[in-house]
Amino acid sequence: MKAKVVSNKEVSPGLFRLSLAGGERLTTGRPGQFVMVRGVWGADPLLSRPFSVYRYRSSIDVDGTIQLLIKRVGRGTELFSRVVPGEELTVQGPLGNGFPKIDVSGRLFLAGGGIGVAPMMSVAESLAGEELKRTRLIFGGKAVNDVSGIDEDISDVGVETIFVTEDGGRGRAGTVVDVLKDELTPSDVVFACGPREMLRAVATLAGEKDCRAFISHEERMACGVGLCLGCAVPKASGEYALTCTDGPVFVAQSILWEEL
Amino acid sequence: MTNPARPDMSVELFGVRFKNRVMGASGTVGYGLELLDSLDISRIGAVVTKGISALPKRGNPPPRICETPAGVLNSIGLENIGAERFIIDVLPELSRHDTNIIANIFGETMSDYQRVASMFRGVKEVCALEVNLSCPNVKKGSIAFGRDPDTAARLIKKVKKSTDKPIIAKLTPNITDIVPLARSVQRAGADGVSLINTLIGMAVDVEKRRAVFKNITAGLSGPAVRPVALRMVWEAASNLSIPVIGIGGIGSARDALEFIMAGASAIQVGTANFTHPGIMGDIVEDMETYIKDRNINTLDTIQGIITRKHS
Ligand SMILES: Cc1cc2nc3c(=O)[nH]c(=O)nc-3n(C[C@H](O)[C@H](O)[C@H](O)COP(=O)(O)OP(=O)(O)OC[C@H]3O[C@@H](n4cnc5c(N)ncnc54)[C@H](O)[C@@H]3O)c2cc1C
Ligand SMILES: Cc1cc2nc3c(=O)[nH]c(=O)nc-3n(C[C@H](O)[C@H](O)[C@H](O)COP(=O)(O)O)c2cc1C
Ligand code: FES
Repeated sequence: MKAKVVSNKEVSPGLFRLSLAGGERLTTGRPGQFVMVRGVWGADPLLSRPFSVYRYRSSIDVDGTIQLLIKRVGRGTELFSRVVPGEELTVQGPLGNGFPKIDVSGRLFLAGGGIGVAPMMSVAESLAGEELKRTRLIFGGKAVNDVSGIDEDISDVGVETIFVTEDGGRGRAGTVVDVLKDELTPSDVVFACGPREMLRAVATLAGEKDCRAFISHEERMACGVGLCLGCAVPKASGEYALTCTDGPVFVAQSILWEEL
Repeated sequence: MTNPARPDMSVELFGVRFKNRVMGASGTVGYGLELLDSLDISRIGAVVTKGISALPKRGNPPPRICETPAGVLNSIGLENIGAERFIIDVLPELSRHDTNIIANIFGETMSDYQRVASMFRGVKEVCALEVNLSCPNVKKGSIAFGRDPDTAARLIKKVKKSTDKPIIAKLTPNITDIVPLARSVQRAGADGVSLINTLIGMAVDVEKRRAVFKNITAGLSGPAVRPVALRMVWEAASNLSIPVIGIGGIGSARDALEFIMAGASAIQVGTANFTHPGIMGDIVEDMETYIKDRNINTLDTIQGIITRKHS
């Protein structure tokens, strides 16, 4: 489907918050789902790019929009960083399974490493009342720039946030996993997205702490809908699952991390 | 305004009627059902399934996909659910849609190919078998049989004996000359040929200083391969008396018509399904418009128009 760019704002160096209006269907997804996006450019770059939905509901922009949080890393994201309001993009989705709706007796930790914070905000904005009060967003990165730019959304959603940087530039010094190590108890649940090494550590930690943990996995995608078998992720059961249709959210310990 | 009659887009190939000449290429349309969200598959001539082997196959470890300029490298490694599960679990649902189903088959040994072919005996929902002699992503079978005209002919003869259906030999572009290979499989009894499968390519991650894929090489497809595919289809069609199905970088009716003018009887759309879901329906419609606007009765008029000029 075609979606119109409502706004595109650089919220921190190299980090863009892109609002897209594409009708109701776009906004009826679940937290943790993703969209495949391409511009009107032709065959180069060829493939659409997958992005998590950062926000489904937003008081900031026009009704019926979703927001993406995009980090500029290569050719495709460079092009998205330059789109301007009024331009049209092609969007497929929301796709994938999303994070589960589960009962949490303890606290829910939403752990976002760098750009991995994107799907976490969509979870946070889906919660309210008691649930939201027991939820903590952990936003981690190497330095202050990696954990900046989304303060406005954090306060809009009203989620209590723990900042953590490796160089101690903002919040606690250390990593997302260090915070989890100190905080987690068996009644807590972790949702995590971030670099592969972080997710691997979350899986191990959840095992040690006897906690439930769900991670959002990233894999190279061509189609996003199960046509190409390109996004295979090895499962502990010995089979491959597809990141795009079986995921991107998996039970952390169900992945065969040694093979990744 | 009167509604002008819709032109007849159908074509008969090896005794099978296809409602039009547009087919979904193996490995890019799943088992057909995965397409349904974006395309009414009864609009296209055929669905060619993901490669199917006698037993399920696990495929290659990730990463399996890498983008290149106007193309994509894939290293899927023929992951599939196996013929039995396809026939029992998928086919009943798939065959409820009004389109032809072609099963793409492969094996590691010649007898594997015979085994999977015979598993489709009497399975009337499948109208033809496309024999994959050309996947570059597996160590055994497939391309190992498809590069030498004599070996390919031996394999085609064996598969032919094991099936009651027409067989299409899917050929590789990773050879010096397509003509001897195409002629050889025709002599061996192939009812049609399809080409091209992917071109062998490679990518290096300069940050990590290693090849992107664990197998080092991978298969290149998409717009980048189209001129090569077109040339090979033209060469094959100029030298064969059986139908040639053109594949390679087709993403529009114009691309499709190029292949038909170069001699293809039908075309398959591959990588374009990933980037433009539903594109095959548009291609059928735009081809209809093309022939209506030019007052051509059927595509037979222009099929092979270039081949005829040159031969
Ligand atoms: C389910 C999912 C959700 C994602 N959510 C977000 C998000 O919310 N915000 C965000 O900034 N990024 C997100 N990503 C990562 C994002 O897709 C890549 O950063 C982006 O595709 C890179 O494109 P590029 O052209 O700039 O990079 P290039 O390196 O030039 O891209 C080359 C190729 O690799 C693919 N690719 C590169 N990195 C990745 C990756 N990490 N995952 C999948 N494909 C990749 C590209 O699609 C492209 O085909 C997500 C990825 C997945 C799989
Ligand atoms: C991800 C992917 C998987 C493929 N799997 C198969 C397969 O299982 N069997 C086969 O014969 N060809 C397979 N192919 C090759 C395609 O059917 C087609 O021949 C090739 O991609 C060229 O066409 P295109 O440029 O339109 O994609 C695959 C191609 C891609 C991109
Ligand atoms: S991206 Fe094609 S199957 Fe997942």
